[in-house]
Amino acid sequence: MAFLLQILEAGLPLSYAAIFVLYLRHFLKPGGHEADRPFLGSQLLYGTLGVHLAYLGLLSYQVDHLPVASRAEFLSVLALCIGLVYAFVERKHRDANTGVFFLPLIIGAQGWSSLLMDPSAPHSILEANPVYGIHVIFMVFGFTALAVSALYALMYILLARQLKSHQLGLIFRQLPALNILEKMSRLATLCGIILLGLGLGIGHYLAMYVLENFNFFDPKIVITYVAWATYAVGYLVVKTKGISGLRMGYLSLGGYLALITSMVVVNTFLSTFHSFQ
Amino acid sequence: MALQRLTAISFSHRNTGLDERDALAFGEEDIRHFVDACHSDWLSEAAVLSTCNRTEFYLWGPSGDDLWPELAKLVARLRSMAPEDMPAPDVYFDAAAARHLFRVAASLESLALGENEILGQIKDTHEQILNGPHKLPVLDQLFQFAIRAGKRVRTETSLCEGVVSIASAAVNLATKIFSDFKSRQVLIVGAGETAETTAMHFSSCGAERFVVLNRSEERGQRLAADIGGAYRPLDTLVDACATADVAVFATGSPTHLISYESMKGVMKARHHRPIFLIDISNPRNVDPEIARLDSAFLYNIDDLQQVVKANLSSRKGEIPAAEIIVTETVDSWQNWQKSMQVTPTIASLAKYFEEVRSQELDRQYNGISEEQRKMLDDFSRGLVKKLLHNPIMYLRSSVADNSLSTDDLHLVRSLYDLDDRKEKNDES
Repeated sequence: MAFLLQILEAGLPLSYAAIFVLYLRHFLKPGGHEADRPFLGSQLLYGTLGVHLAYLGLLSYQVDHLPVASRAEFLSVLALCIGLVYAFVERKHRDANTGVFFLPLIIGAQGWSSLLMDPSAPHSILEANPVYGIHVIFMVFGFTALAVSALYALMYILLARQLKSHQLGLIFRQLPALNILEKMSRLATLCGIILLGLGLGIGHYLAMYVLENFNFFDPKIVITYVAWATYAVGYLVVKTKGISGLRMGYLSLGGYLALITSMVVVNTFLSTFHSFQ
Repeated sequence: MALQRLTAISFSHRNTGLDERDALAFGEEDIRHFVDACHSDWLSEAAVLSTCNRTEFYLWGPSGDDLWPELAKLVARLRSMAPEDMPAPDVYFDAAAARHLFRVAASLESLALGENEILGQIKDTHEQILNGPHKLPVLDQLFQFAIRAGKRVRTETSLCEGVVSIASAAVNLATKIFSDFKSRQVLIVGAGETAETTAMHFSSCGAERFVVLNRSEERGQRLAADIGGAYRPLDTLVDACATADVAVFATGSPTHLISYESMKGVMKARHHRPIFLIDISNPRNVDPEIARLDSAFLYNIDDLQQVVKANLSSRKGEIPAAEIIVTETVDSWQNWQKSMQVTPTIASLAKYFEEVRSQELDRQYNGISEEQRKMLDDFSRGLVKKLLHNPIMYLRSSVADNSLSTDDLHLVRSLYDLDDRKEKNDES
């Protein structure tokens, strides 16, 4: 099994890189792609994500815990999460022209993971706890979905600015329409809210029944709850009031940047029991 | 007997006026008569490509330089014209004829460079070739090559990308904001020709919800009825903007119909939902300051003309790439034609060997068992196959690498007396 895992560790980044080339060609193709014809890149991406999922399953079996105990495992889960969220959004809106922006992130995360991977690395008892593993996976999934949403918001802003400035370049020609980008961003946000909510719920369970000293006012927890509540309320307000447009794009991107900045500040300057490494 | 060759006779915007093109436009019935007459009178395969900008005749068969004067009488008769009134066509032969058709398919010959409609019209002509009463194998192949060239140009180059009219540029920009117009409200301010053309463009792209605002109620009502929309008086413009997704301004008003301040209020009322403002009036109807508002996308006639100009210039830049594809397709067409030249020789050669084999077998069949016959049959078949392999491969590869000369073909045919045998067979 170790040999198979090594093959997959080498093969996954290469496979994603090949898929990236297909997405890049698709993006640069004059006249775009015929929507009714299946795009090979998408089919290969779905297949590779399946293989990636199987790889993480095998890895869990070999190391006897969910693959969130080391940086390498975490990066591989992150790559899979980006891929799954993107693939879901792409399938839902039948538009593969934004994949070229996400695949480099997947290649980077999985490539780095493959380089660092050491299944024999020591890990704490908590990290071997399956509930903890599920909690982390949901949290990663949730934050990834919010990041994907922010990237779509960035694309929205870029396209809207091109349209406003009348400078109609490659982005204008190849990106989906503004309303599609907005829908993609909203779908990713909804995924993020649900997944993060599940992650927080499982984290609560873990804190109450597994951890002995649980501090509800741990800065990381507070920020995560505030972020989750802000996203959830914001999503409902936007949905019910029908708010959209460039301001929403700025808000979505700004919100995610604020979340990341506060996380970095907390991790750097404040003590927290939430330290994975 | 005249040489079999491909001929293209072209009347287009390059050599005729609009009236002449109208007079020469062939309907289905004319095409049927023309193809029948060519088949019976000149033993030719014939096809007609007739669009609003061109009428072209493609013929494969015995043809000399006097073909057009003869054909002109037929065309004149079919279109009820006096032969002397017929304009002079452009006539192309062989590879030049094929190149012309491939350039037409690539829309390099079109009045609007890079237009897409022509490929569909060539496909229609190909359908007529396939469904007609006569077999037209060479023209069938020619049009297949043309369709292939047209498709390649559209997928491998940007020749047909972008839009080249003001109205279609406006619609194209709007699709980058809303993707489709099915549930979008399109506001048409004005009821003149420009407003109507733009409204029709939106309608043809799927817009269904129109509101027409005009000073004259009668004209406004008329346009609203034509495009299936509702009429509202011009003084409700600000309210109408609050619900619209696209607003087209095409009036003769000498002043701005909507100011920055009123649009600011509109944007607030619509929760900053995007609106696309198309100002194709001269002088402008929309305060240019409105462009500063978030989610208000304002394009005036100059901006749209810039888009059209940029698209046209980008299309022109793609001409060399499209010409390369046309040249490659002409080469493939010529190779196919050459392979057609050797196909009869290969068939005659195979037939000759088979005849010799059969004759020899017949001589040996007396007095041998069924099992021995079968063995002899299998052996002779294998032998003939092996003997023929090298000459056939030589002929095919010579065609593929363009090295086959007429002398080579004559030599092969003379060696086995294939021409005489063919004549004898034809006589019998």
